[in-house]
Amino acid sequence: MANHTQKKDADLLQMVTFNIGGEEFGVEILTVQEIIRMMQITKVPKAPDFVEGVINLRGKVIPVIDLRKRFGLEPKGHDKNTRIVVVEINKMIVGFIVDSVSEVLRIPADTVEPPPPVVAGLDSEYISGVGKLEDRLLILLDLDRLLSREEKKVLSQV
Amino acid sequence: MSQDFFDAEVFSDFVVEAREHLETIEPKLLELENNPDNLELLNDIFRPMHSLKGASGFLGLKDMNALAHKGENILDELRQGRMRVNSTIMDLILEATDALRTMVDNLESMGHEGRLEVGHIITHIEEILKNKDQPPDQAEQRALQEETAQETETAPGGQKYTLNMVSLDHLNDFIEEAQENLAAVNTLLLDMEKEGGSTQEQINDLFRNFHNLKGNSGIIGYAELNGLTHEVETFLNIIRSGEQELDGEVLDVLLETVDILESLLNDIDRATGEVQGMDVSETSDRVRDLKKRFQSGNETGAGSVEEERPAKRNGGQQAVTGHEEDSGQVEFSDVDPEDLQIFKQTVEQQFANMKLALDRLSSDGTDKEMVDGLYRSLVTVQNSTGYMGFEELKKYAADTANLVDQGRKTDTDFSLMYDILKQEVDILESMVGRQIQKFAAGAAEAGPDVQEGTVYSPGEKGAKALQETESPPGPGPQEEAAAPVPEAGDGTGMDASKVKDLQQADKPEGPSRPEEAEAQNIGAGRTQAGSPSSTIRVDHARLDELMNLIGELIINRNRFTMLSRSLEEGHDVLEVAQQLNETTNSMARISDDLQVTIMNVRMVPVRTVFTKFPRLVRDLSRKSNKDIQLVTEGEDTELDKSVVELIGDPLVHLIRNAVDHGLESQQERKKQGKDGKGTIWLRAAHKGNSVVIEIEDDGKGIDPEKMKLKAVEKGVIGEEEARNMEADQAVELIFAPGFSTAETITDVSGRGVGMDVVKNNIKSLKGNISVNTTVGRGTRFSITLPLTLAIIDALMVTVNGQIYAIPLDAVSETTKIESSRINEINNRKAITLRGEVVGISSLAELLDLPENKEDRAELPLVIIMVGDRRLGLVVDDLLERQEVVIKSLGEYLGDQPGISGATIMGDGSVVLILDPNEIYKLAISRS
Repeated sequence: MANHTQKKDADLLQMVTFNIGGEEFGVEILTVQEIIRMMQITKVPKAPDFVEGVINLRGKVIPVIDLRKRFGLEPKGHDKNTRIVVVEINKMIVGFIVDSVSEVLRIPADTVEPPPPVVAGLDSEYISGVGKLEDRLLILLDLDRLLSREEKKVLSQV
Repeated sequence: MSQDFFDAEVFSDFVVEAREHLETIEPKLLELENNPDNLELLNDIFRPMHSLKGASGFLGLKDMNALAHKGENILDELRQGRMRVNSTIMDLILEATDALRTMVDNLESMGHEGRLEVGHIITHIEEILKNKDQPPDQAEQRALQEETAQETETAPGGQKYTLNMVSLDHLNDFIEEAQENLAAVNTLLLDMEKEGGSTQEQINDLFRNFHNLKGNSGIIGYAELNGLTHEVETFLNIIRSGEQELDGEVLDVLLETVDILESLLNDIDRATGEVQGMDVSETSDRVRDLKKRFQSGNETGAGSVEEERPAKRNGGQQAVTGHEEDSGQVEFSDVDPEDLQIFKQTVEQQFANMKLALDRLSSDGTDKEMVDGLYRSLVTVQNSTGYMGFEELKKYAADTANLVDQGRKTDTDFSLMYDILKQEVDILESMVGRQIQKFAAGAAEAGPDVQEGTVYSPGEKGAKALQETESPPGPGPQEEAAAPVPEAGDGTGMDASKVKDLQQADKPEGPSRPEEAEAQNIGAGRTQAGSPSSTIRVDHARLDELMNLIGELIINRNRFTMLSRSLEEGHDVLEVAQQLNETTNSMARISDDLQVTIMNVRMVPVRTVFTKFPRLVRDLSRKSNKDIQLVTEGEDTELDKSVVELIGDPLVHLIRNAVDHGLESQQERKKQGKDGKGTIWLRAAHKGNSVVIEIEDDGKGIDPEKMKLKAVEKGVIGEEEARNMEADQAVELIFAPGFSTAETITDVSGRGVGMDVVKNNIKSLKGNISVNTTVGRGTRFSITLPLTLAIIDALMVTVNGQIYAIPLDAVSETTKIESSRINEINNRKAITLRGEVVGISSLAELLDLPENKEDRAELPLVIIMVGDRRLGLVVDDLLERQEVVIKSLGEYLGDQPGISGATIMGDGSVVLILDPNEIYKLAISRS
């Protein structure tokens, strides 16, 4: 019994999906710590452009990254739909600003295909795959890569 | 691994302690090298080594124990004057302590000793020990003694041998303690005789004393004493299990035994540790006879005991609490029936394992796996009994475990120890059985299911008979309610056959099984978690202080509640406001006190780091063939523990550099008219709100011209840049990445990463390093560290609409200047402040923020001090000063130039904290 459900779980990916610049992205739900509304952000001078600044997450200072800027999209003002997706990867807690958060989805792992070379202007190396939904495509982000890549970049700038 | 059986706390305590021991040993060893004849020093080294051996043995850390043991042996030889201190021996001991340290480190980081090759050190020590005329090899001797201990029944009298003692002190301790034990036994026996009977308590006391005697004599290898006390102990245990009284005949025999034991003690030659083996077989025969009598009395007398029981147990609880005295500390009500259940199952399992192991060992005494298994089981029983609060049982289990441990360390053939171990295990088992029985029968909470657990003493018939008789007539209503056993009525129907059948008894206990499994899981999880947490030792007085403050805090909180109520009730607002003000003030005082107290708790002296260095310098001076002395000062200066832990590596780098690059060779020094012996000073001192650590050498100093040359060569700076560079800045090049001036790269230093890393390490501690050098005279590195990493005083300023905090330490003054007073000198803005020229920069510009375009007549200025240099920072606005809690920016952002961290304000917003050193550097690089 237990085995059966486990197997089923393994075949299903549970994703949090969000929108940036009209594209729908997904990250694995286990990496998402919480989703918060936009709040006051303290700018960090000399930080890379896409680093929006730092916020106070219940007594902890965490950096916030604007995924729009990160993906090289047109900047857009924050509105009531803007959210910060707080993820924890490799013991680092980072917030991502997204245009809006849509839903939590379960998609069968076998509908995920390897990424095409370029999606929405960002290197395919940050994409772990593309999920085919009934009527649309879901870009699965590889946050681990995105962060570690950025980390290297940030460090080399210092 | 046997370590798995200890919880993390025991481990981290051990790690702390082991470190302390090693820290005591090392500097003393170095001192010893200079004063080889100082006996006191040797003793000071011996003691911690001995403790280390003991503690590691206790935790089952085999390699450590073996190594510490050898270290102890060789130290003892030195102490006894049978060997002389020489450099080979010193190197060897130092090597051993290094290995021990590595093992301790491994223990902390990985949770086990690691696979360190220590065999060669041990062999080496053994060789040295052998090469001098040493009395018979110790291990051999011990094995021999253990053999004799086995054969006490035929103890051959009149054979002279030397006791296996660590030192004369040890021997004297033993004799003293043995005499105390015997005196106690004498008193007890005489009391019994006078009263014409014995109480359970007295018998327990007797048993304890004999047990101690047995254990101690076993360690010291006194075969006769050990054999005889062992007999008495076994006998007493039977008496105890049967809860029988001692009669006149027994007392006579016991008193006689005491006499014999006393003469055995007197027989020890205190100077040499030699004993003239006496024939004690007659006495031990008599004790054995007694034992037989009582044993059979127990077996056949089970019935009569049974009859006695109800009478004795009249009033149930009281009588049982009476027995309870022998384990003393535990009340029934303290024991959770679930705990008892788990405990029962655990020890059952362990005893089954031990029996199996013993059986195997009886046929093959060298089966290491079985010996280890036996030891592990004993340790588990020891821990479980300890957890349940059965102190006496715990001690007994620990003693037995130690016996096994000693045996396996000396590679004893365990078939020789089989009998004694079998007996020990049986005794232990029956003790545990009775303990559980008591709780099961006595504690109302313990349902009938617990009684079923008393099964596991099939070895002790007497005890079993008791268990059967001790089951209560039937479960009371409470018992039924508390025991989650499906067949609650089973208690009444519990019969001997059921009791004997372990499987059957276990089956109905289904509900408690998952708990056990869970408990095991938790245990496993804990051991898997690996490295023990870092701990800190706290003075009890400081904890009391904290407790008081917490008390005040709570009172204060209540006052706030009261105030808010009086506002609701419409009291005079002004009056309430005044009270609120008072309460807030006292709140501020309390939180200040709390802060200071908790900071103090975190403070440790830098000595813990400094003690590493004499050794380092010694090794380096040998390697580099330079004669060097290290002078340390201010070891008592206290720093936050987290800082102390991290400052070690940078200091090692600096000292290495000083030896390798700073100090000249002996000839060169003499040529320059310096003392042939180079000196390195390591100092720590308080300076305001920070601690300064200085590393100074009287070597050749740093030549700025050479630095420039090298830097250009390595491409760190351009030639043009080099020409314009001031001497100070040239010297600072030493901290540049990829810079190394060592002409030859030695294995000590010179890979061109050192100083760069040092600087970053110190920066991560929110500290600062500066260098001061005079060519031909020497170099001094000064490290300034904050007292604590957590809280600082800061001045708040605004720039470009955002607030920033500047550590107050670095602020020399704040002022407002008229913009017209700013001059330009060499493209740099500067003002003259009280006759002194101070360069100024705009903070906004330094942080790459948009400039304030307002036309301001007056500019707010913060003058910061970095080392001896001053810099004025133009800001938009000056705010108040405030205490801020430092938070890191997070790993992702890592180091941001000019920013050392962030803090959170009262309104929840984040404010960045500036790093004055970097700000200064940014300003310099701009101009």
